[in-house]
Amino acid sequence: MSKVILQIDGNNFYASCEQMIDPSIRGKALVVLSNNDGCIIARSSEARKMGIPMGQPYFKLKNKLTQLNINVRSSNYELYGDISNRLMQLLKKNCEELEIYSIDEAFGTIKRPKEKCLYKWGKDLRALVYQNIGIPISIGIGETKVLSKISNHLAKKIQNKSGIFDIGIIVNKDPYLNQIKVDKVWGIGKRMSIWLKSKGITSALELRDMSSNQIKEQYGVVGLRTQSELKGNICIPIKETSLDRKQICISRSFSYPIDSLEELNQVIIKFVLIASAKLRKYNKLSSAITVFTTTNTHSKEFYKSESTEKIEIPTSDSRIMIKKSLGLTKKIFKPYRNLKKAGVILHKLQSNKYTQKLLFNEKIIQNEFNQDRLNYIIDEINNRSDRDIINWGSSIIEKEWGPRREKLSSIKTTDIESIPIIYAN
Amino acid sequence: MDSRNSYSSLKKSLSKLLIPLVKDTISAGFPSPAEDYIELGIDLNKYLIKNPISTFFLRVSGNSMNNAGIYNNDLLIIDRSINPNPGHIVVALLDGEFTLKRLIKKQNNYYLKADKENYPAINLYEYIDIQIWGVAIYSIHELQKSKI
Repeated sequence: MSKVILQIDGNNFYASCEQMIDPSIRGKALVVLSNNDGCIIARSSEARKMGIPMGQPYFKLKNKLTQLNINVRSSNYELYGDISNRLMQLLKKNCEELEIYSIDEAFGTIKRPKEKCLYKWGKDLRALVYQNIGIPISIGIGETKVLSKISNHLAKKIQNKSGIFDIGIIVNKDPYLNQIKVDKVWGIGKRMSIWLKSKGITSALELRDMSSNQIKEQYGVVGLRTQSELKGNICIPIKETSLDRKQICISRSFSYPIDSLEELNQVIIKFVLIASAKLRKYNKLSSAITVFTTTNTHSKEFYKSESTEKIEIPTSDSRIMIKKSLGLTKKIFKPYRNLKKAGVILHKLQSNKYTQKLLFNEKIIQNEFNQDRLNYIIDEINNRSDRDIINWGSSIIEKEWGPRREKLSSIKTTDIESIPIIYAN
Repeated sequence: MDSRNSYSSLKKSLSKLLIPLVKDTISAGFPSPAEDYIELGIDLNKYLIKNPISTFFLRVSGNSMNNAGIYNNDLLIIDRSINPNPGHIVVALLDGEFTLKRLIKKQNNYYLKADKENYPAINLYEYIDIQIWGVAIYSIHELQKSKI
């Protein structure tokens, strides 16, 4: 039994998540917009067939989308994160190793029973994922990461659109590699593909068979690695990932609209405190923070805004987070708007065990330690009680803004107030 | 000073304060037979949700399933990993809407039926686009707010 590499991804992932949870848009053309409704970041296959391009600014296509009766959704990261987490857990159970590559994509390994095609295995996994989670996936199987990625590409194109392709079982891969354009090969960036094309290399097959010396000269070991993987030699191993969270998002809808910066600040600080306590609970540090807010989606003067700031030294300190977030709320706040919802996202989470500290700066290290200790003690005291006994001065809220009890426009699987309604009339 | 080491030793010393009280107080005399069980408790999540990966919640609207013990505004727990069988209460997709019905089988035909009189059964073979979305396993009914 030899080990093969799998590359698995959710088809049109964001669009599939939306369609999974909202039956009214199943099988219909749908696009999902980026944060702030900036541009199109996902399309259902129906929208794709209608020629709606990826990455286009929304305002440019707004009329066209309305004319073509295409459904539009703002991105709903709470939902995508939850579905992704379920998907990865299920994949982890069914593969030997699993490397989570992005929200909708993973590499895995499995043993191949002696010279047996894994088509049936893939078909079963696909059915299992669809039954349990309700989203379609594609599976590419090959000897290396680069080949499995190509395989996944082929899975979407051929094999009766079954969503599975196993290039590992094919002895003469040439006709398949010939179909793959060189810029579609994993690891080949834009610049490298331009260089390759200038050398007359346009397909994955030609890349595999070109002179290694030429690649090495121009792109060193990195370029050579991709070529070697195309030949079937493992150069990029699977890095097993724990099912750790990559970001923490705390957001709520308000029971009454907020229209002052002061109130928005208080709410955001509350979220920051919840989020940073979570960070500490999971022994994580964050190196970027986003604050966002929206008015009611249905209101005429719909307003949505967000802002992100990097945190130079990754931290879980509530005080640093509060300070950063206050700068951000100032940026996103607009007077005379009735804000209905706001939230905080902490990104780029990393373990607090392996952190880059500043060298030669004893004072900062000492400070950091004291902050850790302060935060930790507050967590400890608050954890022992049902409510927060100790609060940061800036977080004391006078009015009760808690979640509203209306049906929210966006459906989520992570928020009891936003779960879908089922009619039993 | 290595901040990491002192941080973890601080953590240790704090967590030492969290030793369960019961264990310390029953040191004289017989060991309490209850001691082995003190960490047990009822976790509804564990009890109600067998397969977290495939479990979803939905909110019920309507009264057509009252006879099955499912009321308006109940919280429904759905497990998608269960294969739907006759007798199961299922969430079906019909005309682009979730609908809650009981799956029944009569003379080799499958039907969806509301648990209420005068509600016609839906013959699944008459529909082209129908899908069973999941099987309902529990309905949580808030007694204080019952509106029937």
